[in-house]
Order: sequence, then C-alpha cells, then structure tokens
Amino acid sequence: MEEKNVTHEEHLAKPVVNNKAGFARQKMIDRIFIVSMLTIPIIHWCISWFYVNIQSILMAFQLPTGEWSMLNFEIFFSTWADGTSELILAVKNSIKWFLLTNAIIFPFTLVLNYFFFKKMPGYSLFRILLYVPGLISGVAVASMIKEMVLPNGFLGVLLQEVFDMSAGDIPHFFKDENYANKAMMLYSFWGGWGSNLLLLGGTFARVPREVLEAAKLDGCSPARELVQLVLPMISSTLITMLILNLTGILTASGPLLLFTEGRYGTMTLSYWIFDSVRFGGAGTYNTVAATGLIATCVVVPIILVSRWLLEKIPVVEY
Amino acid sequence: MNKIKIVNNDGTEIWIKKPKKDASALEKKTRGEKILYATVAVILSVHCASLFIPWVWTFLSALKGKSEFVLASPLDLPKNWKFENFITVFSELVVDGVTFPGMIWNSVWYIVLNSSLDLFVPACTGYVMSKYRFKGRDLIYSVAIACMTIPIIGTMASDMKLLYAMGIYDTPLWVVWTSIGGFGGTFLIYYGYFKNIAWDYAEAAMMDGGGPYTIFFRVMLPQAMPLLTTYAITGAIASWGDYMSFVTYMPSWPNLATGLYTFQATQERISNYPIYYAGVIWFMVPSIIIFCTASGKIMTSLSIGGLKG
Repeated sequence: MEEKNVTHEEHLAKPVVNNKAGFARQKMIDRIFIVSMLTIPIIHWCISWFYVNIQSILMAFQLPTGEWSMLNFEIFFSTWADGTSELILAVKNSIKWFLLTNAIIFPFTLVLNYFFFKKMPGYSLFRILLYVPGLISGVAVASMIKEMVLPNGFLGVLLQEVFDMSAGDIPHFFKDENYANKAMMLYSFWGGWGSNLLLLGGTFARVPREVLEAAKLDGCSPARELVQLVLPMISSTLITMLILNLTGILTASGPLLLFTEGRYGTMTLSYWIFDSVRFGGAGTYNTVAATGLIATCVVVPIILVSRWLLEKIPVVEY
Repeated sequence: MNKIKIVNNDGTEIWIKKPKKDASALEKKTRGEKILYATVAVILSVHCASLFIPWVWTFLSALKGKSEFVLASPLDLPKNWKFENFITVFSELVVDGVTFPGMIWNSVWYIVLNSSLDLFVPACTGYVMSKYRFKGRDLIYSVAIACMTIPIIGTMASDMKLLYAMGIYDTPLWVVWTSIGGFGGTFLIYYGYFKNIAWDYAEAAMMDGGGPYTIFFRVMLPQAMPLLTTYAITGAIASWGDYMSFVTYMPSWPNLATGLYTFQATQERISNYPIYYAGVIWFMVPSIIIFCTASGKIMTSLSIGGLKG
C-alpha cells in the first residue's frame, strides 16, 4: 500500500455526499455501524473489567459468609508486621522477576536487536533461532529442562563425567531453596528473548537508514549511534512498552507452575493468588481480594508517577 | 561491460571505469565493528546450540524403551530405536480419561474459537475507534488505555465467582466469553494500523454505493491482512501452547499442553517417560511447521505504536 504523507484527520471517515438528506442518512448508517461494532466489546468490558473489579474491592471488605468486616486487612497487616506472612517473600520474588524482565532481558534484547538491525553476520538466522524457543510451549521446554538438570539427568551425569563429581555433589536445582529461584530466572533469561526480538525488530525496521548512513559518514561510533540516534527514534515504542510493562511491577512471575509450584522459596504474588484461588476455593476469595487491593494501592501511584515521568521524555517524530 | 560513457557539455565523450556496486556506508564495517560482530556471533551460536540440545535429548529419549530410560545413562543413545513410541503415545498417554487424540481435539477447537474471536473483535474496535469521531470516543479510548496501564491486582477470585455465577466455569463457553474482549494490547496495535490507512480507499467504495460494513469487510480488513495473518499465526501458536487457561478455567477439558503437564506430574509413579517425550515431540511439531512456513511474515509484521490517541 502506498503511504501518503497526510495527518490522521485526513484518514478519518467522512461522508461523500453533498446534499443535506444524504448526509444525514449516511451519518445515521455510520452511527448504526459504530454501535454494532462496539456494543459487545463494551458490554464485555463492563462485566469482565468493571463489575469484576468493583466486586473484588467489595469482597476485600467481606468475610466468606458475606458479612462486612476488616478482618482480611487486619490479618494481612499483622502477619506482615510480625514477618510471618508468606507474602513478604512473594512480593520480594515478584520484584526480582520484574527486574529480570525489565532491567536485564529488555535492555539486553534491545542491544541484540541493534546488532541485528545493523545486519551483523547471520542476523536473520539468529533472529529465527532465538525466536523458536518462544514458540514451543513452556510445558514442553520446562519438562525437558527439569529432567535434564536432575543429578542423574543429562546435565548431572555430564558434570559427573567431566568434572569427576558424584551425584551427591550436584544439587536438585529446582528442588533446593538455594538454587530454585536462581535456576528458574536463568531458565527464563536463557529462553526469553524471542518476544522482545520480535516486537523490537519491527520497531527498529522503521528507523530510516539514511540518517544512520549520514551519521556513519560523519564518523559516528556504533555506541553513539545507538544511544543518540536509534534510541530517540524508537523512544515512542520503548516508552509504550515500559509503561505497559510497569503494570507487572508486583505481579511479575516466572514459570512456577511448571517447575516448583511456589515451593522452595520461589513463591510470587501472582502465583500465590492463583494457588489460593485454585486450591483454596471460595473460602480464600476474600483474603485474595484484600491482598490484591492492598497491592493495587501500592502499585498504582508508582505506575502513575513513572508514567508521568516517562511521558516527559521528548518523542522524536520522523 | 566494465565501462560507462559520459557525454560532456561540449559533446565530447569519455569512458570511465564502472564503479563497483555501491556499498552503502552502513554496509562498510570498521575493523572494530567486525571484531564486535564476530564475537557476538560466536556467543549467539553457542547460545542457539544450547537452546536446541534439549530438543535432541528429548527426541532421543522418546526412542528409548521404558526400562532403558530409567537404567541406562542419559548420555547414551537408544539401544533399540523404538520409533513405535510415536504411535503408542496415541493410545497410552491418557489423562483423566482423555486420550492423546482427545487432547489434540481440545487444542484444535480452542485455537479456532479463541484465535478467530481474539483476532476479529479487537479489529472491529480498533477500526471504529481509529476511523470515526463520535461522542464518547475519547472517553472509551482513555478508559481502554487506563485499563491496560493501571493493574487491579487480585481480581482472579472475583472473576472466578462471576464465572460460577454465569455457569460457564469449566465449559467451552468460557473460551467465547474470554475472547470477545475488544480492548487490550491487540486493540492498540489494530488502532495504530488502521489509523495509518488512507480513507481514500473507502471513499472509492462509497462512490460505488458501499456502506460502512462493505468498507470494513471488503476494503479495510483486506488491507490489514498482513497484520491479521501474523496475529492468526502467533495467536494459534500461543493457544496451542496455552496451559494456564485450561488448568485454571477448564480443568475437565485438557488440551495437549495441559495433558502433558498433568501426565508428567504422574510420571514418578508411572515412569513411562519415553511415551511422555514422544508426546512432547508431537506437541512441538505443529508450532515448528507453522513457524517454518510463516517465519518471514511473523518476523516483519509486528510492532507496537504509541499510547497517545
């Protein structure tokens, strides 16, 4: 499709008739069209988002019997204060997962995408090979890895033979509190580049190569080119991704269900919610709702301030 | 011919050597860049190899006998290559009464239902919101963005209560319900896409008597086909591998991913890992085939826009 240099206003729907009656008729048809296209999604949103959230807030102030009470909050704050709450560890782990995703994997894949954008040798093959693990369900990959890293599994026996170790020297990486979290994070880093490579790849592709060519002729180094030219040009997308990622600041998690089911010190807030609702049944719903409400009250101001700051960053138009 | 002719203003002709095919400044790499790229390429090669070792090991494990898998070293190749495991899996891999083909069927209908609705509904909202100005449009857009950027945590309990009340928990209707949401990340991408499509195409259709539905279905949606195809492919792959939805909301309808997850959890008792791994290999095949046939499209079509309306 040939793209013209026009503003969004010029791309908006507009009638093609000139007479008043025809114009009114077309407006009416347009209105019917808009209503028919939006009715189901809006009703769905009203129920699945608005109603569910309001009900969740109300549930936080109720007991499972339906009686109004502050007990859910009292239990939360008292166990949090005396350090016995399992949620302390869950929140810490959630923040670790958030940092892994946003402070390690995201910048790493950003730089990697830059190399691909600069057409390093084999870049298209690498892009495909690195994306492939993301295609395969976590169930398959996790089951392979879990078996392979057992003391008597592929990696365990390999270590025994290469380093002359015994099976007892090799820990159960996913069943040992000292290793389980780190092992899952390493696993997530190892196979977790695909989606960012895909999304950022499309973004990098829009950067005009003429600008980079001119910069190179002026002697601009790759590092300077990335920081001072490419990043500002893709800042709009990066800011959007960061704002969307920020929503996971307390709900970030790893493949806990597949590896540890929250045991061995790996519990996260979102897995705790999932686990409580799945296994705890209706009796735990109110506790979950209260915990979620408290977490929301902590997270929302952080997100709003961060979003406000991120939107202050000037976006380069080109 | 290696020379080109240049005619001067006075009419004289000169022949000069044809320059080598123009290599843009970007393609000329400095020595430092060459070393950097070579180092990165070596690191990535090792990383890619590490990504595929588990696949090879799993494939070889699937070819072993039941007792051989337990007794022999995991580094050994299969003694008798039991390719029949890939057939036996269809009858022996059973979870809660659902057979392997039954799980595949659950995966297939889930993909069709989920992907098609998930693809179509956000396309409708993205199109209308980007092309039409109407009362409440800005409010709807702002709310849609706010919902995406402000998380309300812990609503799963409330959601579960709603699903029970609606009577759709653990039924395929849950898939329909969850797929008809028109506002989310996909909406944002469609919104950006349609926003940049010129209205001239629609005007031509209107001149021919086409209404808004004709324009949407026959002019605009076909133009969004590259994006739709990419989403159909990535959506199908994601749905194929989805296990959380089934574990949480449809436990009685295990798809292949959930079935394998549940089957593995019982392996400590059953110890029939080769059959399990044969199932894992079958499970990976469709994703790989889809990707191999459509990798170019996936790799070039996806990007995300800004949040400002």
